[in-house]
Amino acid sequence: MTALLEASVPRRLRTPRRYVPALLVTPAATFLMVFFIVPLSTVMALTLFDYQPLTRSIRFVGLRNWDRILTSPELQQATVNTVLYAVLTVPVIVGLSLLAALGIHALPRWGGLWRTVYFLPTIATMAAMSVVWRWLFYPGTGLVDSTIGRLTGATDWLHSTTLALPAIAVIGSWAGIGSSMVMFLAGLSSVPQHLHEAGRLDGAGPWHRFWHITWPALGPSTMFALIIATRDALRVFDQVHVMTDGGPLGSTETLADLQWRYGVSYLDIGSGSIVNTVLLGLVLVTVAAQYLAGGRRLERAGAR
Amino acid sequence: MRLKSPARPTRRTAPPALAGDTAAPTPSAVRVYTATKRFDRSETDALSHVDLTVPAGSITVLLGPSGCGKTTLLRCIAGLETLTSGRIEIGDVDATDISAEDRGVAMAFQNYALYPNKSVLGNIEFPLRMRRVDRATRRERALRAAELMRLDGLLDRKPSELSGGQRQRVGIGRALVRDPAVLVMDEPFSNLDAALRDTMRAELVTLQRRLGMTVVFVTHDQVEALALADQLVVMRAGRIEQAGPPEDVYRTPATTFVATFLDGMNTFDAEGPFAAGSAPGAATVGCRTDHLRIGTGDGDDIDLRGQVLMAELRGRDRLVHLDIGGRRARMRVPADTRPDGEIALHVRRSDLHYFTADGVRCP
Repeated sequence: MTALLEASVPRRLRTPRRYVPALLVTPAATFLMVFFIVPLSTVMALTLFDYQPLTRSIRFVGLRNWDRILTSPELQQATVNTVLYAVLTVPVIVGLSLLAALGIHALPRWGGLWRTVYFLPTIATMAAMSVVWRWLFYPGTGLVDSTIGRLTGATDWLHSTTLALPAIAVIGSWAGIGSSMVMFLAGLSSVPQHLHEAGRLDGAGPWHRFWHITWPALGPSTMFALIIATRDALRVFDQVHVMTDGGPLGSTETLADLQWRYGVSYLDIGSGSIVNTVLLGLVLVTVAAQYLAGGRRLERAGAR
Repeated sequence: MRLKSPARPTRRTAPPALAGDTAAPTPSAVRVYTATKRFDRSETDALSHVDLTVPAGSITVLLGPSGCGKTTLLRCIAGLETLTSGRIEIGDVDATDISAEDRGVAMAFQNYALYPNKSVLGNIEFPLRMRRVDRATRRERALRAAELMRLDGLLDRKPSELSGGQRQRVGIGRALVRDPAVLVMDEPFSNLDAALRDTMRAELVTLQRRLGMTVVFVTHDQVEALALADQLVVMRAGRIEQAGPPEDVYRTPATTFVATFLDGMNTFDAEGPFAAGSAPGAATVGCRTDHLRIGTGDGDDIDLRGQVLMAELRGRDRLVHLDIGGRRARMRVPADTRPDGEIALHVRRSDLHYFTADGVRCP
């Protein structure tokens, strides 16, 4: 029987040649090399040089760039602002996108329409949307000042050192809800209907069904949404650059914007590379902390 | 198919084992009056004017092919679906508009529907938690249900760490823990292997006798239906085709559908050798697979000649496929009989069942 089977299989299909696995891995490996390892190593190396792109002169300066930047008030403020921005946006994004997903999932029809509505900000060009938002925040006559401003007295958000960062955070949250919501919707559709039926028969009302059935099953989605939202928040750039350019008085300067300022505006490649490295480190540390703190538990809870 | 041992003793209401010292729940009868269910965007009724009484403290089995409405009827009783028209009473209460959360019907699911993130004990305790039973009582009753379902050593396991049979035992334990007035079961054993299915079936009957609960059980497996039922309800296309004690339904099928679905009975047009002498108006004649016999008959017997097409071994029996003058038929013979070629057959007239052109049994 075995012999018969083997005879019917063409010889070249039977034992894969040794180079086949290597061949299959090559595209991904090339991609990783070209777009990740090479640029990362280049950036790391550039932190040790004084490189002048205009005169094409390059001089090894050791850790002197690091000395200068790590102690600079600009980097410290940018780090604080970046973390603050993440603290302001991530809970809002994860919370509101969960609510939006739950609402859309419960709709008997038109779910696709609402999903598209909430997802539109995510696919829209952030820089262009930031121009629109800048107009909404326009001092005195913008929509924000003529409504919220009238009621609370808080006006001209973008020129206030205390309100500019929250304004940026509002836009970031608005833009970020769509992608998190899609992850939650995917998670929700994977919750088996019969579990909800069992819950109803066991006497669980809507809240208990959410807490005992839906929420545990959403563990992986929540973790993923949290990590992606955090990563995006720490790398915030477009709306800062378009709306405030880091101002006023550096109150909205984030790490990504500072990196642009150093690297592109001042052509100080070494310093820009250092900010870039700090940002990368911050993202890695934060995500690792999130994963260790709650990720494993959340992922396991969702396992069926 | 083999009929079970003669008339089973009638079941009595045993003292409930789970309730302990608390008020003993009395099993409730379920009455369904002219229930009709039509799903949105459907052209046909999933249930059509169904009347059914499920006696308290007994097992009623809903049997039928897929799409016959048996699961819909079960879900309507549980409250997971609402009737388009009609009425459902549980005990003496009109339950038609009571939601599933408050109806007090417990259910065992085909795919168990255990909460994946809760332990065995957590699953069994859950209905009591939702009813705000205090912790000590809850634990005590859950442990008793777990013991009853022989889950003692598995209390801390997650459902994913259990076998199919263990999972369904948890599902049944979770259903039993709150002493439900009615327990409905939707093909609970169909995902289990054959041997385990037999075991679980026997356990269920034992348990039901001990606790005296009212059970509505849905299956498409006629062996399972005959084995479990105190009342057997055969359904087809949203209607009840026949309801009664399983022995009666088996012996005197009311329609050709019941006869063929429950027993795989042979049906022939009432002409030629099967001309309906004794039953005027009969259009179809039914003959059980084990009532076709090899050899020539005597006296009033009908003699036939058949060509053996093929034979399937069914354990103790052999199912022989025949061609009798252009009519397809099946015959059940002992496994050690190996008929071949053209053979002589006979059937007793008293063994035949007569049906009208509409498929209804002749009086």
